[in-house]
Amino acid sequence: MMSFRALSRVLQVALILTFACALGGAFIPGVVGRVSGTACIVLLIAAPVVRVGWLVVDWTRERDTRFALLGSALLLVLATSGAIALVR
Amino acid sequence: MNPVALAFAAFVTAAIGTLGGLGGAILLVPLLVLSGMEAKYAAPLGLVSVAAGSLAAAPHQLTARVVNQRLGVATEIAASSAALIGALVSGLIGQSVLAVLLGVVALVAAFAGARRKGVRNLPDSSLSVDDVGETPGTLAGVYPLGDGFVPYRANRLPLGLLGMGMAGLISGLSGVGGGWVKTPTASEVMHVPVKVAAATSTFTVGVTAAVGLLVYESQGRIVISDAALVAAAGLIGGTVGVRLQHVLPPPLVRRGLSAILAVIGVLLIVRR
Repeated sequence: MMSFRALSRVLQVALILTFACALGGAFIPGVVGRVSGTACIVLLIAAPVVRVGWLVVDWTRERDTRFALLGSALLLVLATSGAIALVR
Repeated sequence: MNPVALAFAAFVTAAIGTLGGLGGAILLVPLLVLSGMEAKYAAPLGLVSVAAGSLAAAPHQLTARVVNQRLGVATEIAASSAALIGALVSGLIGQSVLAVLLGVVALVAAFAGARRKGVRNLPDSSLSVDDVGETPGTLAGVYPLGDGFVPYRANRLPLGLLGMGMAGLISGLSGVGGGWVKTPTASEVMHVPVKVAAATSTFTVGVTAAVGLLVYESQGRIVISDAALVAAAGLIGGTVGVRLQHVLPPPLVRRGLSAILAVIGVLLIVRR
């Protein structure tokens, strides 16, 4: 229960940061706006990855091995996507 | 589409999408295509909208403990793998084909939303608020419904994984997100309560969108200023939508959404 609350708080912070970066990307011209907009996209991609990583740690601690492995497999798929994006 | 109209469309579609548990991109991408934007640029904006809606809903849904994250992770492996393949080949598909695909997707979503049923699982009086949440090691759990607490268990996992894989493939190909397939698959095929299915889909579409966005970024298809505008509006829309979920009856929302989707689907196919 405590872990869910902590994860909820982390995602709340991510939500606020992403919103701030999105506003910057949408309304600030030039390089600053571009960097801010890119940071917004990075945060949108990172938030679910962090969430899955959090769950894997949580389930490993609970000794829920099967789901910890499934979560790790999902992270592997996400890592493969990241690798393909970098290579291309 | 001008920036004000784009922001308004992203806000409204994210709010309606989160409200109905289908994701906003299924409305946003066809609207952008109808307004004259090329489908290959509209698709990444759709995924930005999906990711924003998912992030906006997450804190509230986690606190309410209606998300089954074990179910989400188990089924998302199929969806994300298929989304990766779909996003990789999406650039090879022509405008006309993608427009027809989106039209068919919208019509199927309209049908799925219209035929979805209400409550299948009933409250168990022996359960209390302490039982709410997931059951470790299983795809089962308990969720609150009104004053009662409802136990559930996901069934027919292989068929469910097939549906989730299809949702991921369509998401990667078209950028419309997969919530409109995932929610009915979890609800109607796997017999997970609609409320849990919708919340779990809202979590997993964020993961699927992340995969698609990584690939689109590598293909240079994300226009940062437009994406940032859609993200800002989508975050507000998603926050409003998840709050409204508690006020409006879901069947009413789904019927309204189905009617809009049917119109968009027909227009896309006719005007390609």
